[in-house]
Amino acid sequence: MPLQKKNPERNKIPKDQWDLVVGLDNNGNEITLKDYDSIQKEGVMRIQLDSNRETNRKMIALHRLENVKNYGIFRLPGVGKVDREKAIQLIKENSKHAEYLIQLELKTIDLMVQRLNSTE
Amino acid sequence: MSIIYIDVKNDEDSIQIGDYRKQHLYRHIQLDVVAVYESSGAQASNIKNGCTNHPEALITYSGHGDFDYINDYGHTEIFHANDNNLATYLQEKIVHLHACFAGDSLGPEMVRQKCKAFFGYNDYFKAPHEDDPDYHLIDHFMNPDETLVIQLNNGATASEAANMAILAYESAIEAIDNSSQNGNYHIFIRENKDAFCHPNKDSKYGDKSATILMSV
Repeated sequence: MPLQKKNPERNKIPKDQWDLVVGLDNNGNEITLKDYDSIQKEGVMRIQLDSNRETNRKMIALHRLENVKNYGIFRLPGVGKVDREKAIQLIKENSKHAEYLIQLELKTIDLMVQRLNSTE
Repeated sequence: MSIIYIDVKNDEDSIQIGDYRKQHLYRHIQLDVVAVYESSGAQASNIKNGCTNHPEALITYSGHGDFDYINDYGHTEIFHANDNNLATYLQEKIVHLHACFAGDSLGPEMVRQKCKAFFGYNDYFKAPHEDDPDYHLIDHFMNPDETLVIQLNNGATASEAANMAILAYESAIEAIDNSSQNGNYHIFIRENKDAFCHPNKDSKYGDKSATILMSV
């Protein structure tokens, strides 16, 4: 896990988040948070994470859920218990909760990238 | 103070939240509770009678809500935004609904019909499931509402109590961020804070200076 002790916001990024997909590059290759951090540091190119995110949002969310560890179990009204496997199922079935679960992953990406880029 | 305490525990979701409130919030306020409705006793007719019998009170409710209504134990609507007689039950009261969505339409309608102040949520209320290894983090999800009710019962104004609840949310966010939890709970606690409805957020949620009157 990349460390940067002087950035407390960055240190709030859970270690498993570094290896999860946060977007795709212009060639459609998956970019993890760790990749994104390296690319930013190298200054070679700045990736616009949201440029092709909308068309691939379901795939990105599923890929993250299939690889995430320690996914917090919660309840959704009308569904009951939602763990990682249930979240994947609901998205694949395009259930009425799929959009919320996809948004949840995208919000998580945004929060982690925000922490990564924080200058506090 | 007078508190009307309602926990509609009619499925796993509502039992979890209701049981938690009974174990934590209730012991702080029980001396001021004038009516309790829980589980099969939480029937719309009983609750409405209780509201009529206690004209100046804080209502604190947990159970299932939707944009424009909350349900009782038998899934009958207790209060609906289309009901023109809400003032009969809610005039001079402060209402706290620990329920999903009811802050959207029902809360503002309650205020329009003479409820002094409303607190609730205009989205899903998210909380850890008891099967999660980090279930203890539920304390941080429940603490803001608990703080709110205790502050109102201590005589704080709606504005002061809302501010204390927001501070509790800030502490909760910090605690979740620094926990071992890996992602989605970080979002849930922020979403709950954003969905929290109170008079400081919008005047449609009532009077910032509202308090529960001291009993004489």
